[in-house]
Amino acid sequence: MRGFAITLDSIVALTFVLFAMVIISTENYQPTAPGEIYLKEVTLDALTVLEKTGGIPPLLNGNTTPAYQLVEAMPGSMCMEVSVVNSYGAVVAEIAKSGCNNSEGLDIQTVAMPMMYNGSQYVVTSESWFTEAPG
Amino acid sequence: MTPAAVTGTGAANPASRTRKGQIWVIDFTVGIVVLSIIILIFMLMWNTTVVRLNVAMGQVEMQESAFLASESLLASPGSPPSWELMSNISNASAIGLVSGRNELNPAKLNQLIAQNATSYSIIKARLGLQLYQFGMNITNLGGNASYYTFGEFSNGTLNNSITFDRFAILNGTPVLVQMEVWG
Repeated sequence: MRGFAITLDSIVALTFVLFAMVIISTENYQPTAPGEIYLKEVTLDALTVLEKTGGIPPLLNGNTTPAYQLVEAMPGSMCMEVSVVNSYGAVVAEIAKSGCNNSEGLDIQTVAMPMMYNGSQYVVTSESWFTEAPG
Repeated sequence: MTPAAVTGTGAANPASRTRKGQIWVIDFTVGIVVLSIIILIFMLMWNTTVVRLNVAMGQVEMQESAFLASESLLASPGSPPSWELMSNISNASAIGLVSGRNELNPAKLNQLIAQNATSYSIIKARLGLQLYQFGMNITNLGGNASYYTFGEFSNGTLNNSITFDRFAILNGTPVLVQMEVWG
């Protein structure tokens, strides 16, 4: 009975080891950009470029074209939403990449930056997330 | 105990011992065969697993190198900051393409492109990509007009390739910097 228990135990242990090795050996590795860090950098890039090319004042004046072109150029699996909030906390402008309306339950990278325009203070926030899990 | 009884018992025991011994030998042989098969499978799979893990670790290293290279190019001017004025690019310890964060400097870009044919390996080494191939394409946001192209691209022929798209500014206009590290 004791020998039987030892044999059963070793068979179960070997089965687990073989199972793990089968999973590893059949895995297909495809390199991808490092997910969250890459997303953070692209989010920061987008906001920096938007600010330095003067794309935010037009957004406040209702011209969303410069900002929209930038968010639309985000890599395929990435979504971005740019919003501008005034000093009272009201959202005065907001644009999102097309097809990116739902970020619920996903990990979001946020970058925010204050700015002055026509003597008023605003905070520009850009939020990004993956539409699907990277890699 | 009579001599007959002793003889009778003695005649039965050797047969029993022989059968018991045969069963033990068969059990032992079957056990050895099964164990040998398991060890053989284990060794074959272990080799495959080690190769796979090495490939995976190599690809993680490639991802990190690619990401750091993209940061070096788009977040720093290089070292020395005016490396584009040097006659020999191998004297530069780091290559960067910007004057300020994400602001591409056309003089640095022109120098990088000019050195493509003669110093491709040196530039890759300064970016920490000496083990891989590297290609960079600067386009408009739509990706349909190319302004600068550097290095080599796999053209989608390899699985072992990683691409990065980053945003930058060229002459006051937003552009897309597409980078590929492969090999």
